Amino acid sequence: MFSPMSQLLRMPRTIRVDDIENYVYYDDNYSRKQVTWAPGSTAVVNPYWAKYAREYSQKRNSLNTILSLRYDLTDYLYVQLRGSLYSSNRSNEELIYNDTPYVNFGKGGYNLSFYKTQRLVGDILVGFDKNLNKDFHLNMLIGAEINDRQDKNLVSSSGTDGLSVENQFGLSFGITPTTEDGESHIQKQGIYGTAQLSFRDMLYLDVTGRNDWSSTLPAPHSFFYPSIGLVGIISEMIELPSWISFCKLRASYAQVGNDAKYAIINQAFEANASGPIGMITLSKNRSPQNLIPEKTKSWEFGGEVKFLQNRIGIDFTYYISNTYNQLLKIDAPPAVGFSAQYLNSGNIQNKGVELMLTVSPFKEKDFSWDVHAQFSMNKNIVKELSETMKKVTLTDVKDMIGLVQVREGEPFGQIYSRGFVRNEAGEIIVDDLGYPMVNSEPDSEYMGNMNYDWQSGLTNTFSYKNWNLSFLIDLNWGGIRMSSTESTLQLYGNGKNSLYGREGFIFKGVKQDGSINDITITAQNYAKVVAGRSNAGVGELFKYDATNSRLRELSLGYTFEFNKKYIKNCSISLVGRNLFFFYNGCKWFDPDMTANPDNNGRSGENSALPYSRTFGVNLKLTL
Amino acid sequence: MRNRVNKKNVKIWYLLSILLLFSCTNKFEEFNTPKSQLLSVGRAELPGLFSSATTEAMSFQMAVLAAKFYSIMPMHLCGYTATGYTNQEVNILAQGSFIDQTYERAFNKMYKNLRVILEVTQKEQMKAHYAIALVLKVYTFHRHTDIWGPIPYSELDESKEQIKFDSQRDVYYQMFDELREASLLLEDELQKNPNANAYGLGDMIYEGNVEKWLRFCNSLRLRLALRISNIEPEKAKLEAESAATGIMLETNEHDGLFQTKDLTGSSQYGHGMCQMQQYLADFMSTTMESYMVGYNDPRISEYWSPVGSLQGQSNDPNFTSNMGGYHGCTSGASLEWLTSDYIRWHSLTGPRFADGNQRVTPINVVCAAETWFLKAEAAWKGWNVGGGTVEELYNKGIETSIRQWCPTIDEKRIIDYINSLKVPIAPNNYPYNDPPVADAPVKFSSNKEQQYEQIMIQKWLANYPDALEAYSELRRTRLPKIYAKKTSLNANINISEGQMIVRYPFPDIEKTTQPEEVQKAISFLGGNPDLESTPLWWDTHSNGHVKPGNY
Repeated sequence: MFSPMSQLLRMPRTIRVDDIENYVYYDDNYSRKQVTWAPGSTAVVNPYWAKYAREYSQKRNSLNTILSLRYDLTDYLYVQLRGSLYSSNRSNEELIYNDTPYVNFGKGGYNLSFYKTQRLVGDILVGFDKNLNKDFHLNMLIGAEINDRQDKNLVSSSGTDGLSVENQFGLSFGITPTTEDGESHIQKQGIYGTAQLSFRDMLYLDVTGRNDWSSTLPAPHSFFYPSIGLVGIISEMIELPSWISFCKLRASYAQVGNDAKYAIINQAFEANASGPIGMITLSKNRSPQNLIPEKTKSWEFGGEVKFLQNRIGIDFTYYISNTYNQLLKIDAPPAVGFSAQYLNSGNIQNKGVELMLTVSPFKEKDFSWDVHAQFSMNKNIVKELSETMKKVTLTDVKDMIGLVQVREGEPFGQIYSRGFVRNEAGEIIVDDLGYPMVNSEPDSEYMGNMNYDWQSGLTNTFSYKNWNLSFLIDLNWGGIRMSSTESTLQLYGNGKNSLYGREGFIFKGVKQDGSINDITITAQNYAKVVAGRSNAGVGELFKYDATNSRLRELSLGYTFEFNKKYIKNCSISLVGRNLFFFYNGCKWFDPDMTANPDNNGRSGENSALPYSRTFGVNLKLTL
Repeated sequence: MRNRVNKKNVKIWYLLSILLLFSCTNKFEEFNTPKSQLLSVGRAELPGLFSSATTEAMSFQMAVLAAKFYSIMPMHLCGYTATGYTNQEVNILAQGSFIDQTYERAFNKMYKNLRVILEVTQKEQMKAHYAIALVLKVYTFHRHTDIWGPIPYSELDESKEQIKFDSQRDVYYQMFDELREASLLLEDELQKNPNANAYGLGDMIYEGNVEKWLRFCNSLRLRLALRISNIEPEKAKLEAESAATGIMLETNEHDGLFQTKDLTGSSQYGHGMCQMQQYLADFMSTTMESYMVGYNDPRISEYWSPVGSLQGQSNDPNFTSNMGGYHGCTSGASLEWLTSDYIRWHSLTGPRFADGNQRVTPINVVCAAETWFLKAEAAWKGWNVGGGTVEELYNKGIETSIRQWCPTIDEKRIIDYINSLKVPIAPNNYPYNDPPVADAPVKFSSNKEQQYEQIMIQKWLANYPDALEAYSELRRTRLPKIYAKKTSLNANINISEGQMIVRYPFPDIEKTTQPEEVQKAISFLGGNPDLESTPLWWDTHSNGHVKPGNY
């Protein structure tokens, strides 16, 4: 809401950016005020003000200490104790200047918060490492681990009434200052054992087992996960043709367990100080009923083959993994009384391949050329969701056109949106006033999936004497992105898409009685029907193919050889990243710059900043 | 040598025993419980829970939902205001997520706490507490069902995955039962202890005064009875006459006012109209101008502010002449007129609703004046609601309302108003220049039909600023007469055919979380589509649809 980009998108085109660059003036009472084209408005803010009148800074100090003791009991048996302590202190400070709309602070506002994290990890293990006889070697570990993380925070604010003195940023100037505390404490304990039995450096068998106890799970807090793997160096076992220099094959089966987030299993009540005696309210999320720890079971097959004296190398992997009981946070029907709930989803399957190819076409004394290619493809399907629910909307993506949904029988991350109402022939139906009819269901039309079908990258490296040049080209295929920016621009009449029909136009469609539409409508009202901020628009008008190929990185370097006592050499290189697109299905925004790359927010962008190139110089000294 | 190995073995066993010590999980529950949370509640927490439930019940009229619902829907649809927002009507169609938040809040902010109160008070046999919670439940959800029609109501159970909708008729029938039960329990309590109190200061409306809650309960029952009087007159009469055997809201002492003064924390919690003033959203409507200026209504300076403080920049004499007076803005004015300069030449809401009073001005929950008008209407229909002629009840309503807003007013001024033959004026609304909105004076008419209109006009004026109640009664009676909107950007509403927005479609959150239940709910719309033009069950005006349908 308060981002400078979002303000810029809504600013009338008649205003030049230069005109609003001086965003501050002092009024007759020497009060610092915003320069704006819409005085008194709370709907629009000068983008400069949006950028500079709300300062946010973060500081962090952290310390990590590690202690490790190892005692060799015999030449094949040892005990190892390790401990680490990580602690960090973080503070956030926010300055909100007087005359900032939306934030209804008196004469400015001030927020200050402190966060403290302490993490202790301790483990103890007994190791056994011995040649059993001349063919077999056994490497075994049993151990136990404890992992304890505590977080505490104190969040203070000058309060809803703001500051008593204009732009004096200190809590003591707060009219109704508030302070809240928060905490979390997660402890995980585990015992584990691993064993690797190898035969003549050509066959390796790995077996592991681990049991974890986590404080975030309901009693008995426990979950177990094993794995088994086999690796064979074929080139050591049998005589291969001379052009095959190395061959390794591997297969494994593994399970991985996962615990839950802090305190989500409690159906708790919260208290606050509002009202004459304070208020108590039930927490807004329904705690998971019968929570089961997540478990991923995966099979993996792969190999590594090298040819022609290692000049060509291929590494390939095929995997299939099923995640059971994945904990999804989803919207709840309002009438149950909660905003969101957790669902242990049934079975989500991923399978895919990863390929890596390295080729060295030239390898001479002064000149070499190396090629490194990478390819990965993942196919995902939600095999089973839950007995009662066949589709859920992920709550992570808000203020975006389209809903990201998980539907049984479909891949994870499907995007659905509002669609036009169409007849059987696929023609769009218009209403009595000539505007296209829009389906009121927010997920009536399938848009696409937010994930790429496959991703690839190609790196070429050339070395000539002390020079080296390398570049990386990406090609990512498939998937879609939704652009809420375009939808906003259309609504505010600021986008190219709002130009058509300014003098009136007839929307191509049919009337409800089946006859061809002949009613003239205006671009402005049309935009109000099909576009909008957040989730209101018709998705199909604002979706883009995410397929893209770009010059991800280009670097040119030179190495100076000194071979002196203190400095052996020094290399200097010029690096450019994200230089340009060979092809970009999203046209004007970067498909990788989405609202929230970490969570499920990869479905699109909203008021994203333009993507940027970066240039740098690297200097490396080898001592 | 042998000795040494043994020593090593001791060390190993020592270390292994440390390893076993690790697996000690008996503090896990403690770790996983933040100190700021309560894991269970009982009697002691009831007042805090009640404060929180009441605050959320008020959220329609608070800053939290004013801009997302109250101001963009009922305030201008009931005729009180004209909106200064240029795309309000579109908002009602497209920015559905705003209104959807209103829908959600009643359940997942308000009722979740009320449910806990109902459970605890039932278990602990706290009858008055239980009854008051029931009244608050009905108060909240009758406003809710009067926006959407069918709503989930009879099976609000937190342990379920899906919650079925009830037809609006079933919701009303259950509400009548709940109010009757509450009324009996509260009467019992008062017989035992005439000064009975529940929730104490935790009750931000009546400070726990059981007698006032009983009055509210009975008045609410009369309100709901009249609401269904066109669709089911017999049930309506039965409920109204039964309600009237109990005590009702009579004086301004009994007015329900939610106190905002002790609210702290998020600025979302405070009087919404005060918050909306800075957004230039709620302007006096031409309908208000026509009635209040025409009647020389003493409440006008409390309800509205004179034009002036905003200083529009235009030099057009059609607007500059508005300066200093009370002037209404044309509802649905064409976008060519509805500019930020134009709206500034009209009256904003009154001084008590000024920005800055968010936590000063109390929120109007219910007023005693309304009950007098409800009784007047019931008496007009020939029902027995405890004596008094229609005219007496009508006059009593006017007097109570004027005293509510202008407590120090001269007796004579009230009498003059009640006897006034002044009629609504033509609002000075260039370029539309509308005629007067109606021709009924304040003085009680001898014409039976006009009497009914007068009751509705005065109730509409008295209910200000409870726009939701005014909007419901406007839909039920199509009274008082209000100016139709000049334009509508909402494609589902055809103004030239007399259509208006009479409900709101089911929210997206229901359509995504329980689509099958929504399909069943649509079947409770009398065969009509899930649109804002589809009338509710108790609304007998077809509004361009098939009526009456199978509800």
